[in-house]
Amino acid sequence: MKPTLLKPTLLKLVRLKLVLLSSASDSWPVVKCLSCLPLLAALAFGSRPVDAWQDSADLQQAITAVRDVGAGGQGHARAVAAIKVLNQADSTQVLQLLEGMDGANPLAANWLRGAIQSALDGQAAVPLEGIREYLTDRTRSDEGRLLAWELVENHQPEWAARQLPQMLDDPCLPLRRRAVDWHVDQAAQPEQVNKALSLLGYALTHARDVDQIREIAGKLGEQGLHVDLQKQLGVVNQWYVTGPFDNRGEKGFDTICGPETDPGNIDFESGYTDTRDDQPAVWQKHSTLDPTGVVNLNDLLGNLKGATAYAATEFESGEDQAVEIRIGCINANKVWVNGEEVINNEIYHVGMMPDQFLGKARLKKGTNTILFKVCQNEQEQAWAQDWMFQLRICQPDGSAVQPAPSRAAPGE
Amino acid sequence: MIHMSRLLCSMACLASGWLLTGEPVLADDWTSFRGNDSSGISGDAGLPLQLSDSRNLAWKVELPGRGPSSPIVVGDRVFVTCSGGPAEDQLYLVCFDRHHGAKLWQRRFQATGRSHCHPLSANAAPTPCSDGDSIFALFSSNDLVCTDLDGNLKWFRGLAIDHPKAGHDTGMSSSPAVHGNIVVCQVENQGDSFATALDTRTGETVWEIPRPADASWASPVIFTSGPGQRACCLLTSGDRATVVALETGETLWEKTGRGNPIPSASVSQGRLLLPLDGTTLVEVDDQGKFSETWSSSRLAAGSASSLLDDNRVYAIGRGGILGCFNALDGERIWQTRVGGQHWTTPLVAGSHAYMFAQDGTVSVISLADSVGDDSRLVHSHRFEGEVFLGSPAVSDGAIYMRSDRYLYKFARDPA
Repeated sequence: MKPTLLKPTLLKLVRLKLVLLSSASDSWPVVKCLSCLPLLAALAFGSRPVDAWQDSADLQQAITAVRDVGAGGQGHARAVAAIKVLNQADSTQVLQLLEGMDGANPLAANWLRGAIQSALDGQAAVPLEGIREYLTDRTRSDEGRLLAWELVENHQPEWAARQLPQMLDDPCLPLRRRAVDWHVDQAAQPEQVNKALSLLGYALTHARDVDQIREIAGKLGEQGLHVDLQKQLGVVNQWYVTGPFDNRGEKGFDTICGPETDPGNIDFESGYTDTRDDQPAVWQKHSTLDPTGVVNLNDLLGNLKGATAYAATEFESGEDQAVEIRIGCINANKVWVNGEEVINNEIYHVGMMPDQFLGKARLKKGTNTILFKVCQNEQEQAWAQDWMFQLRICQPDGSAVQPAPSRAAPGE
Repeated sequence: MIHMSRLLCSMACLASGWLLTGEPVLADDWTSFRGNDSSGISGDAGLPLQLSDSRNLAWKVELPGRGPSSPIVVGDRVFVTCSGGPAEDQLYLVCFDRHHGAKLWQRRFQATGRSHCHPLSANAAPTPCSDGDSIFALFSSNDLVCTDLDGNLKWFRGLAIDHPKAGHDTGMSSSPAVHGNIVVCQVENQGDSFATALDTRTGETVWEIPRPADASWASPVIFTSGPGQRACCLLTSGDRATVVALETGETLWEKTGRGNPIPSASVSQGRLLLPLDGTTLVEVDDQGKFSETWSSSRLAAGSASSLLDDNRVYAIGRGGILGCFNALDGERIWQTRVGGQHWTTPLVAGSHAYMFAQDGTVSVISLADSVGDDSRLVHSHRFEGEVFLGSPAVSDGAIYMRSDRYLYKFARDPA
């Protein structure tokens, strides 16, 4: 370290020490006070270099404090002091901050993201080599790698452009999305006319976002190739539907009735009498042709208000596996998988889109039962008449979980 | 960095008592949605009357993302929030030099709550606010970012981490309000509905109260009233208006009725203008007692908030009709049809109102009683391809307005 750079660094470090010490809780070790002495001595004697480990340890302590932030403002007392330390970091310490994002919760990741951006403000010397290494290490956190990508893209766009095509299978989905976009763009270039289909095919195989998959399917369709969107997305298109049950006064959401009395054991041959209008309700089979699997309950049960419908299906899984149940629903909803509630949203008419709500579930090898409760309220506005839902089953990365080949239609 | 002007202001405030808001805020600042006092009214009578690409445009800069939020001005700096990305989950806080429009810094954060919005709206719908030292930037995803004026993060709260069901797919737009050491966020929706006060220094929760489980886009308004000029916070929803003590969240007064959950209330000189039962005016006396003065179902605001300017109420109704009403009784004095869809709260400065329509049209209207209704339109210009959803800010003789793509500064052209 050059002497000319030393003094500002020392001043910064001492200032940071004092900040930390002045705000440290009782649980912080007393030895911290002693750790400041070499720094003060170094400042007094002017030119003695600061060992790198001191810098690093100081920063690491602050990173640890920031990583402890949690829900409800947990850990803020220490973190607000620590972030002052991190905001004083210089560009040479960016890598340490990036590594701090590995395994950090989403809140802490944002704290660290802010510090990294402060560290790089107006800095000509950005440690791009280290940042590139971090970016290309797929074991690093998605949050950190995405920020690393943005830094590289900003400071070294040519390198980023060369790297992009290779990120098609990246586990960091925002990075993968960029690579998918690159392939779609390439397919549209006149000089790539002979490779357009294969480029789009690669893109479709690796795309995980519903809007991208639909866009690519549309482009393949223009080239005469049909994509089975339902299969590509993993939507459930075969349902049994029953109702209406009572949801007048929006009381039905928490009322257990019909198949909900035993959501893990559905008998599609049975009927229910605890309905809204005291009319027996039976299961009726329904297949949806909608590309994203939308089931319109107004078509099946009538344009009812203050009503609850249940939809159920069986899904054959080839193995025990963890999955994500991803739904879109414009009405209040609950979903059970094998009797276990995995989704619960008492929200009416605030829009609907694929993957609007997610729930984690575990499928067992063999037949799995999925029950979907959809509550329509009594709003009178024209925009509050829809009563519909959709559901798809995905791996955590958004790729479709396909039913086992032996899958039989539910109830058959 | 502490700017000299801010330092001098702070010293002046210490010497002569705090400004009305009690904050180290310059009179020329515009620190929150609808200004320092949330009125939407500027005392600046020297604003340009013609706003176009060729008239009085001081500068225009590109923004990194979309957003219906308004710019705020603190000292020599303009702050804007934006959002972007396929899922609207990229959150931006950007700072520009007020004089030349140079970007001074930009920060990007990642949403931790629901980021989907109606296509017309965006995650960056709430307007940030400032106490003169910090910027508090709230997003529809209920992420609240606190930085200093130089962009250094002070703290970050993800209110949706605490309330996973908070939010809706139309998008939230309630702007935070700050006073003393407390910043208030109003998060009302069909899921987890609440209002919360956070310590500006640490981001820790001071209090939190449940709110009606229904969608509301209204912003909290902070004012002082009663003995000792107690700080209060006014929260309006689709079915009620509630005044709580700022320090504790304790309910001091509440009125229920049929409300409009989109526009926000206005407060001026001990009077509360509420979007409830059409419009209701409530007075607060020296003892902190609330009494309803009048209520008018004919004075019903649309999406834009109404303004209370001394003895006048200005409201934009359906069809882009600007109405002027008597603040003493709610009776209409005049109205004029401007046309267009208006989400932005109009700006009143001197004897003019500035209205920004969704289709990019700005209209300047004379508010003088003596002007005939056919002659009220002083100026109109459409910014081609622009979408105006946020409200303007005013500082030092200039108007700052943001669209989905650009931040504009309008100041009188040099003579």
